[in-house]
Amino acid sequence: MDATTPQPDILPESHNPPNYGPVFSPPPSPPTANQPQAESPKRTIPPWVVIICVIGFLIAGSTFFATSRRQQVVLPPSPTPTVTPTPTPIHPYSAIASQSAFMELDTAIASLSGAINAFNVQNPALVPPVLDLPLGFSD
Amino acid sequence: MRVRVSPLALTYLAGGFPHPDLIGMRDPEVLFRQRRKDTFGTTPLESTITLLDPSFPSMYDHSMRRLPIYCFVLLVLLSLAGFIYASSTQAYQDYLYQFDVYRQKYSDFQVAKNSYDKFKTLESQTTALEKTKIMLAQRDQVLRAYLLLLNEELGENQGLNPTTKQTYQTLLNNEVKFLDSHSQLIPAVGSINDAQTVSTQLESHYIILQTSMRQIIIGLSLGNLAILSAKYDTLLQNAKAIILTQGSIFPQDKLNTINRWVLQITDKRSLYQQKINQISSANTQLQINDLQELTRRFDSMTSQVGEAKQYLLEGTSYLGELANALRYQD
Repeated sequence: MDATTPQPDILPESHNPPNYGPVFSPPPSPPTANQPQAESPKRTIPPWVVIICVIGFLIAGSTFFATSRRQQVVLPPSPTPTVTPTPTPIHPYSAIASQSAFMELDTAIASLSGAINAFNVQNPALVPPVLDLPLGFSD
Repeated sequence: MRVRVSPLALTYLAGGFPHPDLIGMRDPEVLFRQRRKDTFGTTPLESTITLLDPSFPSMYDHSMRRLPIYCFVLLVLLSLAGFIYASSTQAYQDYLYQFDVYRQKYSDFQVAKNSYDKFKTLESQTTALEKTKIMLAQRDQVLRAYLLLLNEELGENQGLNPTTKQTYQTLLNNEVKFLDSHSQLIPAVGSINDAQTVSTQLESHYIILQTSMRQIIIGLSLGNLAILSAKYDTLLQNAKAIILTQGSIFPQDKLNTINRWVLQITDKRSLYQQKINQISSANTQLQINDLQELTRRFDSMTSQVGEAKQYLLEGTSYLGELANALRYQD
């Protein structure tokens, strides 16, 4: 073939060689770096699954941290109140206290205090009536 | 006609079981029971009571026989007491009822008046006149019921001195007379103009009526306070008497404190009295021609009554402290 004559890269269909029977091709050579990799069927994970997983991890993590922190907080033992009896001051009664005149006075004071408290400055039953007096007929 | 029975007499009559020895000879049945009890013994309860009071068996038998009579007398007296007690309460109920009726009549009057003002027909005029007359009569009735309530309250108030009470009752009587004479004019009303004239008579007198009412209300409050202050004075006197006769049992420094406290209690009483005097003076001089001003003065006096009550309350509280100081030796 002449070097100057351009040769088409692909032969026309009419120039295909005739089929003479089965052809045994050599086994495929291992892929090289420059050679583009053949497209293989791979399983892709949907993004919503990823998001759910991340959120789940976050929730689980936060729960774990919270639980561990709570367990770590050690409350100091509450101080147990110790009952110490307060000494009651002893006031001796006077000789007057047992006398009937004093006891009557004491009772009467309590009674008067109650009566004054019960005294109502504005007796609601005695609120004077408020009446609309002018008849208001138009002339 | 109302009968007044003092509570003391009521209690005495209701609870006074006569002693058999005071009545005289015992009847044969009582003697028979007594002999039977002597023979067969008494019940445990009767034995116990007999130990406490040897005259119990005879008194018990006698009282049991007359128990129905006592019950009857007690019921009669209690019903009388209830009647007496209910005089002001009854007057208040009557006043409330009259006021309710007045509200209804006033509402009817307004409907009839609006109808007349709108249509100016003879029929609406007649209806309006009729409703106006009914309302005017009921208005007088309400005021009269209120004055009667005040009169009952005055009658029951034990703190007012007789002169003041008499003055207030005269005021009330004058107002009731005015209302009576005013009520007599209403049946003669023959036109809307007449109705307005009759209504104006009450309107011109209304401020005087309201002044009298408010004076009496303040007077009643002063009367109630006077009862409390009289008790206060009695207690203070009793405390002073105890201190005077037996104050020497206390150490001198405590006695000095007690005497100082007594002075402070007396001071509270003086402050109370000053306030009462102010209120009394203002109440006597209550003559105003403006209803709003009257209301303002009335509120002011009511407030002063509250202050007087406060002085009395503080003094009583001091009295309690004084009694507590007297109770203990140191």
